[in-house]
Order: sequence, then structure tokens, then C-alpha cells
Amino acid sequence: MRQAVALAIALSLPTAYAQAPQEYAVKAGFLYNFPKFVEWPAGALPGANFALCVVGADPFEGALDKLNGKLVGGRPLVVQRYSAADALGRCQILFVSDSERRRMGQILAAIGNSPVLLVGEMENFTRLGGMIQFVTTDKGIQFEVNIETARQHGLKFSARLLQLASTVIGGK
Amino acid sequence: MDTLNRREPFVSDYREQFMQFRDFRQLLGWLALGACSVCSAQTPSAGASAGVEPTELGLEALLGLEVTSVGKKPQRLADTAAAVFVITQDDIRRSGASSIPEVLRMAPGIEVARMNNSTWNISARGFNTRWSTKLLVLMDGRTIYSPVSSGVNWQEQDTMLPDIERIEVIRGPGATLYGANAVNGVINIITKSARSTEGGLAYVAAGNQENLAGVRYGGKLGDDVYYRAYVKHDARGAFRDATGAAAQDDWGRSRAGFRTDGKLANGDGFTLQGDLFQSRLGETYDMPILTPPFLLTLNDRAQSSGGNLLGRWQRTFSSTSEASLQLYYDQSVTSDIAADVGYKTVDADFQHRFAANDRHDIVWGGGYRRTRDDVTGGLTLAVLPQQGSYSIYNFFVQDEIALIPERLRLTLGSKFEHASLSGTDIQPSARLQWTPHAGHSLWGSVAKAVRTPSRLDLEARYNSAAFPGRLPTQISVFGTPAAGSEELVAQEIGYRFQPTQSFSLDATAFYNRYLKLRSTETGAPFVEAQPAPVHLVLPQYFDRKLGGHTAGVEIAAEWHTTAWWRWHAAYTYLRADDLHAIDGGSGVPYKFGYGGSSPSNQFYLRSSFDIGERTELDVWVKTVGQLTAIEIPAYISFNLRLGWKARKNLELSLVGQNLLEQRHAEFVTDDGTPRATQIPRSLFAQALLRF
Repeated sequence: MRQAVALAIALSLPTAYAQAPQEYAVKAGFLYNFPKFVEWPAGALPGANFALCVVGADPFEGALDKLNGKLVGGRPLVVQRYSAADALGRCQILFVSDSERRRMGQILAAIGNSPVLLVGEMENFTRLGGMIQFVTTDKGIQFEVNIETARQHGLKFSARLLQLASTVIGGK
Repeated sequence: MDTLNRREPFVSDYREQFMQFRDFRQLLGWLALGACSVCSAQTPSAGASAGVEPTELGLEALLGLEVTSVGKKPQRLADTAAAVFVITQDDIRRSGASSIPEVLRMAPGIEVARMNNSTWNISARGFNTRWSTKLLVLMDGRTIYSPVSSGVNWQEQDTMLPDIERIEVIRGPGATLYGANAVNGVINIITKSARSTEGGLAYVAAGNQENLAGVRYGGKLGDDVYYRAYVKHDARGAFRDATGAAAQDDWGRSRAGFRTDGKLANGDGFTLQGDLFQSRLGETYDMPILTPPFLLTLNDRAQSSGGNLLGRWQRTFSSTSEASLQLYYDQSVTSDIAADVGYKTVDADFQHRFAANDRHDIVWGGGYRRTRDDVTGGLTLAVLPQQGSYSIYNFFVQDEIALIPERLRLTLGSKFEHASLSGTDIQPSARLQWTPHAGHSLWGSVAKAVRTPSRLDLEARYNSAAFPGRLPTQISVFGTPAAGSEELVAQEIGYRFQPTQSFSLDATAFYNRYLKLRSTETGAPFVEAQPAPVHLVLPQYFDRKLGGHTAGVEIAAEWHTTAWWRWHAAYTYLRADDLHAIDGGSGVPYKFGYGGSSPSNQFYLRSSFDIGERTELDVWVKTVGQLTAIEIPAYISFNLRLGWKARKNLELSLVGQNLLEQRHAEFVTDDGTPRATQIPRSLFAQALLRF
């Protein structure tokens, strides 16, 4: 009986965190940091806010919403969610969910040449028109970049970002 | 068997089990207390970011962070109009399982019965025997069943468990894309890409039943090419039989393999992987012989070895068009007293997926497989001719039509197969999925599936029993050309519900109508002079004069109660008691009444606790109903795993399995197989180091 009580007390203690940070909490951290290493063309940020958008099924479980209001280059970050049929060109960062794999063509058309940073994690994202792709490995989250696609949209990656990327496609 | 209790065997047999369970509640209490005393003594290590929000960290710090991934990426699953259950790497690690068959116990719709130390009988939706023929198992795209028997030799199939990305358990006919043998289900084991496994990993485990060790190292070969290589060894001590006497079924196996993944300059992806294995198993065979005492008991050491090499090339033309080509070579030799079986298989598969327009998503492809086998008969088994060479061609096409975009999807497809052993089969399927709202999905499907025969079905002779009479008498089972393909028409409906990120429910109901099943028909007795002495043979011939239906329900649920406490549950119900003769047959199925060797009810429940920053406790219970035709009683298995992160890269764990009883039986000795033994209570401790 004593053991059962001890067990009940132990389990009710509000001490516990998850073992290590959740995958998507870390990816949200990456999304918040990327703008520090990316140069948008002059006049590309007309609005008062910095829009971080998600298109498709949201895998972040609320981790992204913690970024709401944080300042990016002096502008407050706003998290927005869209579907592939919306006008996505008004976003500064667009996270493309795995669920949108077959709608990539539609998404790229909606963006056109607008300076939107496309981030995703689907297989081959950087070769399907994406700019930064998360790769989950045993040693944590890494990312690949495609300089060509970024350049076509007027975005410039800093040398430090290219150093930290596990693979750099295009450029040279 | 007490017919009065037959109605509710599930509940009444468990009263005794629960009595013993009370003692183990104490054990659990002490363990949890012990775990918490460990966690209160910890302080976060310097720079540990588990207590810090990732959004407070800079890019460099984020790159070095180890992360946990517990989700099953439901947005992908919700797209499937089929009964799919995904076992993640996290599930595998936390279950404490030390082999792939043990991992499969947590899936709904799957029956795992460990017959003895090295033999697992695994099936989906009924028909479980030593050579369960209606379940297709793939390891990274390679079919891993013995083409000679159409069953899976689970002791030959293994890999580094920490390098498994996920296991997809698909119940129902996956016929259209996967092909013959996927009658009741497909198990798709997918290992991690080499780009995800850079660095080293080594583990050592020791316990009262098993000792295990393995090491893997991975790295980068070029700009965008990654590799890994591993070596592992398992040694398992003998089990005991029902009387408590030690059996002779100890075994050990070694395995080594590699995997390379890379991208070419033009963006094409390629994979090259291979394994080599060798195992030695102890077995006890009871063989029928023609002279008194008509039964010979032999202790045997079987050996098996083999290897495989697989290459895959993928090209992504655009986000709406991808193609892949896969080639593999697989060979294995198994020698024991029953027979020497060797086979070599070459397989080529091609697949192209493209979106014809906004509404049509088409997959098409084809493949060719050629197998050469050599079966040298032993005391009881013979195959004539001894060597066989046979092939299968297949072509498939599937169209996923968005009737109402995002809401209603119809998938139509068919596989066309020509097997040199049995002829041409067509396996069409139709699936409809309705997603009225983001959190709900309803689907239904109708499909036809076929199991093509193996040489064992067509050309083998197996002596199953012998007894005295006017002449020594022998019962022999003969394969015949009439034992062609078995056929199934399956109807399923399913419902997927995910109201929030922390709860999901997946329910499936099925009705399987078997048009043709393998049966045994009694033939006219005849006298045979060879081998001496002259004896009378009572022949049984394989045929397909059996039909019937099975039905069932499978439910899986996952609930994240809090950030540190999760539940996983799976329930399986199977009704397989309607089999009857067709075409004037005798109505006798081959093997244990089919329905009678599968449990009617199974239930699995796992509770996962994250205690503090370094400790994990998983406790899981599985109840399996009785196997009526073979008189195996129902049992409850209670297991736990306690994991502790001693250092950043060192994980210690303690795993207890089958803790409730000293030993329990899960199956009986099947025809022509080594003796079944009982599964004991076991405990092992493991240390896993990453470097």
C-alpha cells in the first residue's frame, strides 16, 4: 500500500520535461533564426509584420505559435496558416508541409518570383523548388540549401549559413 | 476444452493471471520510486538545452541538439485508404524488443506466436502456422520470405534495431502495389537512410536469456554520399518445455551489413545496401520412422547462412513525377535434419508515379523475379524434382482520382501477374476515402488478392506420422498441381479520428471471403517398397477445395495525456470459424483449422513515462486469447523497460519480459517443425553508446 502511495506521489510531481527537446520545437527555433542569415531584396518587406506561414498539415504542435510577436529585423513575427490555393506571395517565410508534396507546382506558381524563403522537410525538397530542407539525423537536425532557387527569388544566403549547411546545391 | 467456458474464454482465464499481477504491482512501485530518486538527484548538465526553449538558441546551438521525435506524421497516414499502423523508431526503442518479431507484437491485426527460441509464427487476420503464407514481409523493398515454402524464416531476418526508421504494418490485401502473398497483410520494414546515421553506435546487452552486442559506424564518402556499416551478434540460451526440463533450442547468429545513400550531380538518388548472416540453432525433432518405436527424437544443430545485395535508383522529374528502379540478389542456405534448402533469387522492379492532371495521380510499374532452389530431402521431406527454377512477371497500375479535391478520393488499380508455377492472376482493387473535415477520415475498399503456390505446395512429399499395423503405416502429405493459387476477396471499412495533436484513433473492420483455400483431400492408400521396410501409405493430397470467410475489427489509439506521459493501445478481434468444403472436397483445411490457431481477441496497452530529463519508463501489457484448435490457453504478458541516460551519449536500460509467469506457451509443435517450447520470464540490461 505504501508503495502505491509513493508511486502516486512520484507520478503527480510536475517535475518532468520530455527527454530532449521535441523535433518541431527545434525546427521552430531554426525558422526563427534563418532570417538572420538571409538577405531580402530592398523593398521586399512592405508590411509592418514579418509573416511566417505554414502551408498544409501543420506538424509543429503549437511550437510555432510561441514565435508570435518576436522581433525579426525590427518587425514582429506573425504566424499564419494557408492552403495551397491561397495567395502565398505575401509571406516572408513559407514552411511547406510534407502533405503538400504533390501540390508543389501549385505553390511555386502562387509565389511566382516573390522573395519568399521556402523551407520544408519532404524528400528532395531542395530539388523540387525548395530553398532550405531539414534533414533529421541521429545527431540532430541539419539542413540543406539550394542557392540557385534562392537567387531566382531575389534572396541571398550569408556565407555563415552556407558553412553551417550540411549540403549546398547550386552556386559555385 | 470446457464448452461452457467457450463463450467467454477471454475473461475467465485471466482471473488467475491477475492474482499473480498483484505481486508485480509492488515491483512496479519500487521501480518508479527508484527512477524518481534518480531524477531528483540530477542537475541539468552545463549547457543542456532541455530546460531552455529552442527558440532562445542560436543556429549553431540548434545544430548540435539531439531531438526526440514521437509523432507518426499523421498528415501522411491520413492520406491512406487502408488499415495502416506505423511503428516508429521511438516505439521500437522504448518497447525493449531485441528482435523484429517481438516489435510486431504491438501492431493490431497481427498475431505473433513464438513457437520456440528461434521460431516465430507471425500472421495477419488468421491462418497462423509455422509457414504463414498470406503475409508479405519486405525489408527495404526486398521480399523476405522463403520462395520454397512461402513463409518467413524470422530467425534469418534481422538488422540493427536502432537503425530502423519505421515499420509499416498494413493489414488487408496490398495486392495492387506489392503483389502476390500480400493476401492478409504487408509488413514493410524501412531502415534509416545513411545520411541520418552518421557517427558510431555500439551496444552490449546481457541477461538471463539473451546476450547481444552490435556496433555500427557511419560517415560521409563524398559531397552528397553517405554510408554506414554494422556488425552484430546475438546468443540466446535454451528455453524449457512444459515440464520444466531444459530444451535444446539455444541459438546464436551473426550479421554484418552496409548501406550507402547518395545523390548524383543531376539530382538522381541512389542506394546500395547488403547484408551477410550466419546462424546456428539447436532443435529437437520428433520424426516418424517405419520401424518400432515409429518415432525418433533427434537433437539437431541447424545452420543457415546467406546474404543479399540491393541497389535502388530514383529520379525526381518534378514534384508530380518520380521514378525508381530496384534490383536485388538474395540467397540463403539452411541445413538441418529435415532438409537442406537453398535458394537464389534475382529481382528487378520499376515504378513511376506521376500526376496526369489536377485530379489523377497515377502509379504504374512492373517487375521480374527469378528463383533457383535446391531442396535436398532429409528424413521426412522430399521435393521432386530436387531443383527448381521459376519466375514471376508482374505489371501494375493504379489511379488515385480526386473526385472532390481534398474531400473525396477514389483509387482504382490492378496487378497482373504471371507466375511460371501457377499461371496468370489478376488482382484488382478499389478504394474510396472521404475526409469531411480535417480530423475525420472514412474509407472503404474492395480488393482481390492471390497467394501463388510454392514448390512445397506443388511438388513436395512430407511424411507426417507413422504407426504399426499389418504393414508399417505412414501418413504422407503430397503437393499436387491442383494446389494452385489461393484466392481472397476482401472488403474493409475504416475510420480515422484525430481531433487534436494529442489523440488519435484508427479503427478498421474487415470481411474476407476466401474463394479457394488449400485443403487436404484423402487419397487411396497404396503400398510402397522404398525405403524399406515395405509399408502402407495413407496419402493426403493438397488441393483447393476449401472456402469460407473471416471477419474482424482492429482498433489502435494513441493518447498524449501530458507532455511526459503517453498511452498506446491496440485491440484485435478475429472471427475465423467459418470454413467449408467446396467443389466436393472433404472440408479439411491444412493446418489446425485455420481459425483455431489464431486468437479471437488480443489487446495491447503501453504506458510511456518520461521521468525527469534522463529517465524513461515503459510498461506494457499484452493479452492474447486462447488458440482453441491447438489447446494453447490465453495468456497475459507483462513487460517493462527502464531507460536512463547516464551521460549525454550513454544510455543504460533494463528490460523485463513476460514477468508474470515463469514460462508460458504460445504455440504447439507444427507439422515437420522442431519441437515447440515455452517462453520464459526474461530480464536483460543494455548499455548503448553513441560516438
